[in-house]
This record gives sequence, structure tokens and C-alpha cells, in this order.
Amino acid sequence: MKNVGFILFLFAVMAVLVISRIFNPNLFKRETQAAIENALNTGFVISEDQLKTKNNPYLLVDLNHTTVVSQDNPENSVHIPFEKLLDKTSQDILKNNNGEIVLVATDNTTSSKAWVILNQLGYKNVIILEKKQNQEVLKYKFQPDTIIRLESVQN
Amino acid sequence: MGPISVITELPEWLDLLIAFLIGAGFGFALEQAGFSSSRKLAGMFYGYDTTVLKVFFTAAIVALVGSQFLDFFGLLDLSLVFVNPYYVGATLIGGVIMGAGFIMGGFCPGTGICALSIGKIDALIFLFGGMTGAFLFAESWPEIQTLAMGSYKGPMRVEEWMGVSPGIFTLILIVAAVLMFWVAELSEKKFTRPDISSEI
Amino acid sequence: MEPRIKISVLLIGLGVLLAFIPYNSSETFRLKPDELLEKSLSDTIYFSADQVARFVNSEDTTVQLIDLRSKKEYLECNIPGSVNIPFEEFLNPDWQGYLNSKEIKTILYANGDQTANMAWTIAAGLGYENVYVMRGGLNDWFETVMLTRFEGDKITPHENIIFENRLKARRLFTQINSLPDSAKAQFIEAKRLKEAQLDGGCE
Repeated sequence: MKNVGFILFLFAVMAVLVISRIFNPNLFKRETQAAIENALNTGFVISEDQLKTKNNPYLLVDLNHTTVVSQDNPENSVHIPFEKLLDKTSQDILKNNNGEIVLVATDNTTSSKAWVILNQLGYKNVIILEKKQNQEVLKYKFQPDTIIRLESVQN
Repeated sequence: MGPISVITELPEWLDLLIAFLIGAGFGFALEQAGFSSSRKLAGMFYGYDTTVLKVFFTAAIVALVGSQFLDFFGLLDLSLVFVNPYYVGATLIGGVIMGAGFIMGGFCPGTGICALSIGKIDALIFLFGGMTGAFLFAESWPEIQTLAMGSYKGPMRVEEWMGVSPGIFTLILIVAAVLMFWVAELSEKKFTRPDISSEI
Repeated sequence: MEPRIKISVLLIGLGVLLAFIPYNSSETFRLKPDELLEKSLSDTIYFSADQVARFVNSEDTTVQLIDLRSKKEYLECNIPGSVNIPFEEFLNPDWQGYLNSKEIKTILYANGDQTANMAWTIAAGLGYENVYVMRGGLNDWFETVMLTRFEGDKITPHENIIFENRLKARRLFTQINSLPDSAKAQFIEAKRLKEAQLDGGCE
């Protein structure tokens, strides 16, 4: 019977380790492919006009270091600096929110990085608010040097 | 050593030493299981001795369970582990050839080296035959290239093909293995050959 | 109990435990969230368009530029020396050699900031070292390198260096991107094959 006890003990230890790791909030649990798929589906970036005409409930999250975004609607906006995104208080606010989470920051880089982090932590309805329109479109047309380009110049 | 992330910064000599010790342990385990005897291996085919099945399946399952747990706790990066690319035709034909050789010779390559290390001459001839086969394969590569590289399916893993998570696949495999061991026990009782089993 | 029954029970128990794990750890990020956040906050991950222009001019082999846009956009114009990895294929194992390199700095860029930073976060989360972003993307490259002109009477030595840098990069950019499509495709393919061979390995 002693040997059975040893097996049960070993099994219990493993079970405790596994369960504590499954419920550890400080871990990324989502598969990376989901981030790319969500990013390719274009609905996750909206402009300020679209925000005004939005019907669903949302929470506006200001990621700037010091708050810059004007609060049109103070009830559903909150200021969480990017450094504090993973603090327990911030995570509680984000988890208790029912609608969508709209990220805004003056620097586009901050909101993009925060979007990926939140997406991989399991939040499914995160949107980025763009100040300027269509940032990911090339604004300049390349003029090829027609002396070198022997083939036709039409695109 | 390999993809275990906590100890990747080891100096190279320590890496190689660990590899050597693992290899020595493998040889030791094979020898003490009695695999240097070709009758034990042929017994797998005739049914009177199913040690090979049990040892290799247990080893595979322990490795599977161990690596899954290490991956789960972040110590091992399973995506770095090399998965053999799957060529359908080549695998089938290779399997048939190897199986036939296994039964005829009574050794597989690993156990052949074990037997050689204890001085068996038939193991020496077996390994020599194996190396000749590999040499012929390399020499005739241009002719058999299309067959060998046909129906390439990429590095497939069974759990991806089945569409289940790796943990569930592990459980299925363990249950299947236990059932196979039980059937193996029955077969040992049925196909018993006391004249051979008593000697090995 | 016989040893084999004990071992079978232990293995089945561990298998059941494994079957209940709800996610596949090898497909998630390697880094922990706080580690990734800390890395995201640092400013050292960015290169400006001028710095990238200097890398391009000196044909620096310790730097590899990665273009994250679609193939069509890449063929229309791209920074010389860059490799096209469309964002959809970012996780394709074929490209891991480019993205996860210990010796070579990988600089990601797209048209703007968004895609590049997302790709950076994903790469950093997966544990890739040496991944950087060109700030502002191609829009910034056009604004600073291609279209700036010096206006004024005198030029300081410092400004002189910057402008020379930009002019040289401008020339290179125009030259390489003005090649006829067939030549461009060949150039890109030859570069890709050379990289694949240098990678080594069994395949």
C-alpha cells in the first residue's frame, strides 16, 4: 500500500502544479495565430467619426503617459498608462467591462503594441482608435526612373 | 542540450557529455532488457515474447508525457523539436523493408549495436549489411529520387491531423498502449514457446 | 500491486491530467505578459528612417530589412535589400530563419506604424531576439529620405552628412526600384536562394 500512496502523492503534486499554472493570470494563453487573424480582419481600427456613431457600449482606454484625450463621455472612458496596463486594478477594470475596449494613444505604436498584448491575454473585442485616417496606406507614389525602366510604365 | 530552455547556455563540452551519458543510459537499458538476443526480438513477430513492444512503447510514452509537461511549464519549446517530414510512399516502402530485415535478422539497428558491443558476430554482419544498404541507397539516389520524394506531406503531427489537442492525443495513446500490453500478455500465454523463452 | 500496474495507473493519471490542459503551450507566446510589456516600453527597438538609410547605403550585412506588406505593394517599390514577408505569413516556419536570428538585426517595416509594431510585439512575444522596427514605416522614409530638400544658404557639416546620406539612399532606392519587373524578380529570387543556402540545415 505504501507504493500506491507514493503514486497518488506524485499524481497530486503534478495535479497541483498543472492547475496552478492553468489559472495563472500572468501567462499568455491564446494561440499566436489568433492575433494575426484578428489583425487581418479590418474591423478592428476605427476613426473618430465612427466612434461617435457607435451603438454598442464601449470603454475608451487612454494609454498615454499623461492623459491627453478629451473626455467626451466620462462614464465610459478611463486613463490607463501603457506601463500600468497589466496592473491588477487595470486588469480588473478591463475584465469587468462588458462591451468593446477602444484603445487610444497619441503614438500609434503604443496602441498597436497594447492591442497585441490584450489580444493574446484573451480579450476578444479590442479596437484601436486612429486619430489620422488610413495610417497604414502608402501616401506617396514611387516615380520610377524611366530611362532605366525599359518595360512599360503603366501600373 | 537540445531545446530544453533552462540549460541552453551550457558550454559545448557539457552538452556533449550529457549526450554521451544519455546514450550510455539507452544502451544500458537495452542490454539489461535483454535485447542483445535476437530471439527476443524475433519473439515479437512470433508472439511468444512481447518485451520489445512494452519497452519501446513505455519509453515513447514517458518521453511524450515528460516533454508535454516540460512544454506546459515553459521549460521546453516543443515547436523547436524536429518533426520528420512525411513522404507517404517512401515511409511505406521503408517500413516494409525494415520490418522484413528486423525479423530475418533478429536485430534492429539500435539493438544490433548493443549485441555487437557484447561480441556477437551475427550482429557485426547485420550492421555491415545495414551500412551496405545505406551505401546502395545513396548510390542509386538519382534513380529512386522521384519515388523517395513523392507525396510530400510536410512535417505532420498526428494530433494536428486528428484535430485534437496534444494532451488528448497523449491520453488516447496511453490508453491504447495499455490495451496493447494487455493483448500482448494474452498472446504470450497463447503462443508460448518454453524451449526458447527459458533460454533468453 | 505489481510494478507494471502501478506504472500504468500513474501514466494514465498523468495522461488524464494532460488531456485537461485547455491550451497548447507551444503555440502561445513564450514570454510572460510583464516581460513583454517591459520590452515594449523601451525605446531601443526603433530605428529612424535616416538610420535605416545609412544601413542601406553601407550595405550593412548585420542588418536585414523585412517588408511586411503584400507582394503587390512590395514589387511596386521597396527598400533595397529588404525581404518580403507578408504579415499573414508571419508565423510560417519557413520565415523563422529570417526573423529569429542571433547575429543579424531584423528591422521590420510596413507603410505606417501599426502593422510593424504589431508584428514586432508578436515576434518579441515569441522570444525572438534582435527584432526592431523602422519608425514611421515607408511613409516616413518617403518624407525624410526621398522628398526632403535642403533650403537655406549655408549648410553645417552635420546637416551635410545627413543630406548626403539621404541623397545616396534616394539614388539607390530609385535605381533598384526602377529595374524592369523581370530583373527585379530575378534579383529578389537570387537573394532569397542565397539566404536559404546559407541557412544550412537538412532541407
